[in-house]
Amino acid sequence: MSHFLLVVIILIYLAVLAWLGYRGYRNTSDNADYLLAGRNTHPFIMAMSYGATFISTSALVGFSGVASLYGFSLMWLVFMNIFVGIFIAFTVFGKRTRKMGLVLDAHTFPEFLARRVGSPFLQGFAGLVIFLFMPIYTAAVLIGGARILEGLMGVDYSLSVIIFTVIVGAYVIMGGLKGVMYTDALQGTLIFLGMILLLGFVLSRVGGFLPGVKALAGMGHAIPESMVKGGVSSWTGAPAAGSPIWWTLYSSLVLSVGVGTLAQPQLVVRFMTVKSGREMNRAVLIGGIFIFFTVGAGYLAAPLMNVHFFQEQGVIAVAAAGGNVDSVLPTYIGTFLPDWFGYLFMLAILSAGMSTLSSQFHTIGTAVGRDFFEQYLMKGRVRTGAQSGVAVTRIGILIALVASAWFAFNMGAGVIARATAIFFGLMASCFLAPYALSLYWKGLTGKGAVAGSLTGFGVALFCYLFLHGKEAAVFGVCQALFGRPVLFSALTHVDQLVFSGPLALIVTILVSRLTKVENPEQVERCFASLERS
Amino acid sequence: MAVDMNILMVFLLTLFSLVLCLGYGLYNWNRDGAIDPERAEEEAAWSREEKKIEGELSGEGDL
Repeated sequence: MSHFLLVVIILIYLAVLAWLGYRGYRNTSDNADYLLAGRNTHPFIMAMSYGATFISTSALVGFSGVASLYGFSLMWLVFMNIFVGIFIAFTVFGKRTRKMGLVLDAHTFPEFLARRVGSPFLQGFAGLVIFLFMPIYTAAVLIGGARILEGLMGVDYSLSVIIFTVIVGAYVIMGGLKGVMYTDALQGTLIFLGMILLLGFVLSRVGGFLPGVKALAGMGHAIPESMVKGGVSSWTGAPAAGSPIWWTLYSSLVLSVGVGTLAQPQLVVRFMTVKSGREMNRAVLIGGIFIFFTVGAGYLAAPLMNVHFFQEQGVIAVAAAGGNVDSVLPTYIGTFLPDWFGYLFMLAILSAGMSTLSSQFHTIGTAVGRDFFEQYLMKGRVRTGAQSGVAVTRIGILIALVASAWFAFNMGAGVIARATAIFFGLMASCFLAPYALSLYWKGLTGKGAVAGSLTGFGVALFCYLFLHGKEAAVFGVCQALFGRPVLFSALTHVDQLVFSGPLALIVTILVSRLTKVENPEQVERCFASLERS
Repeated sequence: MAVDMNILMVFLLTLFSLVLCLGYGLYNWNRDGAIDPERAEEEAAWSREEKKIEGELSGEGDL
């Protein structure tokens, strides 16, 4: 590959990014201008900005790789991303969150929950859970970016992790969120175009969509033995019902990631920063299109890469990628696409990672700095200097950077999708029930919300230690205590959310029924705000 | 048939979801545009405060 071409493309990209960032910063430096600029923001800018934050290397690199092994059945996640992650999230959750968040003067997701039910403990607990577990998800995004650098540039994986961490760290710490809308718009456009071009290229190489699907349907003989044993007999069909891969696909990837989006702290915060319901309405349209053409294109193209690889090299995609599903997409681009596309795509993917990581690290920082330290430990008393929430936030971001890089080094190969599912599922098990009820039920109490969150967390932890095979094997607690890897082998592939989700909901409702609302006036104000336009 | 019913269904559901998002977004494109009174007042107060500080700073500069 031509390094001169790469340097030229990167320099042009950075110059445009800097110019757009400066322009965005100038336009949002004054509050009155901020309001005006918001009203005049072009829908295209808004669309691409939203998409760049929503989609990460985890979705594009990790899950595309999984799609090459699982086939078209991963399209269920595209459906969930659009229907639940966009439509339900904005229309059922988003609008009420925005209005109530305003009344509560909430700045973070934990703060929203805590103030809505009158429980400072919930803010501290939620902040701590986010701070401790979100680095698993940020590591998944880091791995995605590092695999791209490795696959397209030939850079050693460990060095790639360090390079990507340093770039993102500098971006976040130097205030990369200023003027973020314009830069995100450029990044979103790159992702959007990159994924459509990728799908177009793959389709052109397999003779079009229907011939490609037909060829894929005839490749049952090439499906790896381990996948056949797991329940996959065709890449154009669903896994056998009740098989290990069927459970992994539907309970871990589709349910946890699809539903878990609703309780993602960095997404909920976005609802609270929107100026009016109109932006929500537009985001539904924009987000739907963006997800359809980015994630949809990726999961549609990935299984068809098997056809192309098999035609050209006689092996399927994951074999060409050295057995690592996380390397399928980078390997395909590096092998078949022209240099200029590879470089542009690399920028698109790194952009996707950077825009998501910046919001993730800010969420982690505020979770420990504001939610846990300032609001819970210090009970809202604002300090200055080294004891201030801002200082703790910065330290929290640095710790999260180091922890994410450590996870990226040590989690092994093919873990992006699993790590993402763990975090999404954990957030849903801990906070989805109290969050959903807080928006629609006046009877939710602080004790009910805390009991539901602790139940969700406890059940999830129990499942990871004693039921779900992959995590239980890593922790080894079940083996040490009971002499076997999991307690019930029949449940070893069932995701924890299947148990923790309903249990958390039941406990939240039961305890709320038995206790009194701690802050009835606040609750009335919240629900009264829903009646205003 | 190259694709089974499960996959056909998810393709159709994905398209349906896209159409739902498009329809909802287009139908409500200009609805709920009013800025909440609390938010508007908060922004206005910030703006006044900012201008006041800027004025004070420029006054100091003149000295």
